[in-house]
This record gives sequence, structure tokens and C-alpha cells, in this order.
Amino acid sequence: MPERVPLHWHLARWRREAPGPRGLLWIAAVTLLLMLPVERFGADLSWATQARILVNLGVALAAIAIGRDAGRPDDAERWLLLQGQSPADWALARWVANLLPLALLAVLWAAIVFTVTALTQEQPMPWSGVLGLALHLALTAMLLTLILLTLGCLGARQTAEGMMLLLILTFLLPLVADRLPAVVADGARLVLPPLDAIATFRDAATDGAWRELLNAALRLATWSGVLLALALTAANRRVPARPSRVSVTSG
Amino acid sequence: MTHDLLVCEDLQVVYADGTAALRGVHLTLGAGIVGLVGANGAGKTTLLRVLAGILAPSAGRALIGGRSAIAHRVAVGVGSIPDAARLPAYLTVEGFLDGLRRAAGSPGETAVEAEIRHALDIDGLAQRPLPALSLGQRRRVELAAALIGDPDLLLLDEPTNGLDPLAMTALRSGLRAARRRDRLIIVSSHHLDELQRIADWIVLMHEGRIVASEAAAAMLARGPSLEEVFMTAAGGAGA
Repeated sequence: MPERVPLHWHLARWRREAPGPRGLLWIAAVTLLLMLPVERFGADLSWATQARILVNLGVALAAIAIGRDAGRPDDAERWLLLQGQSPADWALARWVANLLPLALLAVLWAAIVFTVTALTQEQPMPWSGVLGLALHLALTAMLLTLILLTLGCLGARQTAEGMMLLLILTFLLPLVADRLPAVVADGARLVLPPLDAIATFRDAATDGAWRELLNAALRLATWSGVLLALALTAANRRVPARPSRVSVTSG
Repeated sequence: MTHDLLVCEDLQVVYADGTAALRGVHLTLGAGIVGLVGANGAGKTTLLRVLAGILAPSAGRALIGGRSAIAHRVAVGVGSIPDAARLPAYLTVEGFLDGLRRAAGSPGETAVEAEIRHALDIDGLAQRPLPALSLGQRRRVELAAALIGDPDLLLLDEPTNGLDPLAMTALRSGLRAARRRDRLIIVSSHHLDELQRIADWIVLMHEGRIVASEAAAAMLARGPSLEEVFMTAAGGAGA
């Protein structure tokens, strides 16, 4: 019975190559920034809020650094294709292998934010806040890596730029939704990444609001499921390559 | 040679830019070592990609053991060295070959695989990281990788490119060890003297078509060397 080797190889890649000296330096730099209890974005924001913004940016950048090539054809993948394994298996394993370290990074940064607030702030962050922050970061990483994977599987070269465009549109939508026809605004809400559902999920989880939690989870699961199905279908359509439907007359 | 393992019927490949790489290939081959000869752009690599099931033809069909090349790859795998693909930089030789073996569903190294590994002289490389291999070692590891899963079809595109004479000898030994009654090995190469030494059958391609396909001995009887026969056939087809 053939085994699913892709995840094994992706994890080997992580052990041997990633994040590498540059990646480690970058993670250490963000971590160090987090540990300095200084004002960063202005006096109106509390230190904890500023730290949340910083780690969200950090996760977005880490997702881009790790996942921007995820949906593209890979040298190792070509060898496994010849053994009959599917490109979708490879893409799925790569997404999972990218997500695991990002989730660990989310937990690490949330723990640092908690520790620094506990040591330096008058009102330390509660445990539920730390868990909420870790959950928020991990779910954000999941959505962002999924977008990068899907764009790559669909053949996009500028996956990071495509993802940034989607994020900008997501942030702009609440500002312009009133001026758009209702059907367009509703359609955009369905298509664009449900970042607001992550915030709702986090708040509902920490407040114990189960109805909202379920609604947000359902929205996240549906959006992610559709995107993942699109990515894996696109990956499988890549091999065999279809050069052209046009034929030449032989003879 | 029994002609029943590979059947190509009016195989055509036209790339999106309009380039016709295969212009109606008709070919029937059985087990043995087949030398695929042709100038650059003759369509050799495209033909091998179609036979490997990683490129769909624009028209016509390629059947391997009665199945389409794509279905054959998905069902049992195909022995091939992917064109332009490098070896994964993060694996050792053993990790790479073991991963492919598990992907192919093999419980462990077979006696035949061990014999080929020995013939290819890669026994001492098991723990070496793949990027640390020399070109000759890499080619031999690639051939060992292509033979994993005991494929009935082995496709090799220019396997001797850039090899020194010692590495070529090891590769030739590996190919001879890989020869068996029900396996078709197609080797595309510009080293015609090398093909002359190992091939049972020769296929000449020119501008996307097969211009000759016959037993190596019969083809060599038509001229002093394979190179001369190829030049004559290509000249005749181009005229």
C-alpha cells in the first residue's frame, strides 16, 4: 500500500532548511521587539493593544515568508508524481507543514506578550486573553497560508501581492459597503477572507458566547473548506499538463 | 522484441505558442532497451513526457500495457527522471530512496533493487546529503530512484549528459542490470556510440515524427555507424 510521503518530506525540509539562520534572526527580532515595553504606535493605544498589532503583522509576514511558494510545482513533488502520488497530496501536506510552525510561533508570541504584561503592566493580561491571542494568530496564519496556497495552485506568480490585495479589500469593505449595491457588498463579504469571523470567534471563545462561536466557526470552516477544495482541485489539474487542444494534421 | 508493451497512435502535441512538438507519432515497442535518437527539437523529450503521463497529448493516444500513459502512472507509477527537476536538497540519499520506495508501496528494498544499487556503485552514499553528490553520483542516484517500484517502463532523457567515462560505465552497468524480460527501457541520448553499445532497438525522430524504428543490429547494418544512419535518415526525412 503506497504511503503518503509528502508530509514526511516537508517535515524533513523544515528540520534541514527552515526557518534557517535568516528566519531565526527575524523571529528573534520580532520577539525582542515584543519584549520591550515601550510605546510604538502612539500614546492612545495600550501596550497590550500595540503588542497585538505587532504580532498580527509578524504572523502575516511569517506566513508570506513561509507560504508564498506553497502552491507552485516543486522538485521533490515531481519525483513523487512519477510514483503515482497526486499533486493535491503534496499541496495539502505542504500547507499543513507550513501551518504547524506558524501555530507554534503564535503560541510563543502570545506567551511573551502575557509574560511582559505580567511583569511590567499594572493590569496584566488575563489567561483567557492570552489563549484568545494565540487562537487569533493561529487562525489568521491558517487563512493567510491558505490564500497563498490557493493563489499558487491557481498559477499566480505574485501570491504575496495577491494576498495583500485581498486583505486591503477586506479592510476597505466596511468603509465602502454602504455605498455599494447590497448584492455586491454581500457578495464581497462572502468572497473576501473572513478576518472579522476570527475576531468574533476569539471573543466568543473567551466570553463563552457559544452561539456566536458556532456561527463564526461555521463561517471560517466553510470559507476555508471551499478555498482548500479549490486549491487541491487546481493542483490536480496541473498534472498532466495540457499543452493545447489544437491538433496538427499528420502525414 | 515483442511489440505489445507500448503503443502510440497518431500522437500529437501542440504547445500553447503553436509549436508542434509531436506531429503524429505511430510507434509500437516491446521489452528491451530502446535508443531514442534525434536532433534538438525533434520531439524526444516531449514524447518521453507524454509516455511518463505528465503531459497530455493534444491528439492521439499512448497506451502502456493497454492503459493510457496517465492512468498507468497513477496506477503503478513510471520509472523516469523528471526533466529539469533537481533532487530535494533537504534529504539524504537513503531518505530520498526510502521515501520513493514507500510512495511506490514497496515494503522494502527488493533483491533486484539491491543488485542495481550495487551495480550503480551507490552503496557508500546512503548517508550523504543529496546536494553533496557529484554530477555522476547524482545521475546514478536518479537512475536508482527511477527504478524504485520495479516499473515496467523506464524513461531516461539524456542520462549520460556531463558524465565522465567512469560514471558512464557505472550507469551502463546499472542499465544492463535493470534489463529484464518484461521491461521497456527508453533512453534518449546524443551519445550515439553509447546507445549503439546498449540498445536492442533504435527509434529515430525528426521534426516531431518517427522516421525509423527497427532492431539496432538491422539499423547498424545500413551504415558504418549509428551516426551515419541517423544523418542519412534525417536528411531523407527533411528533404
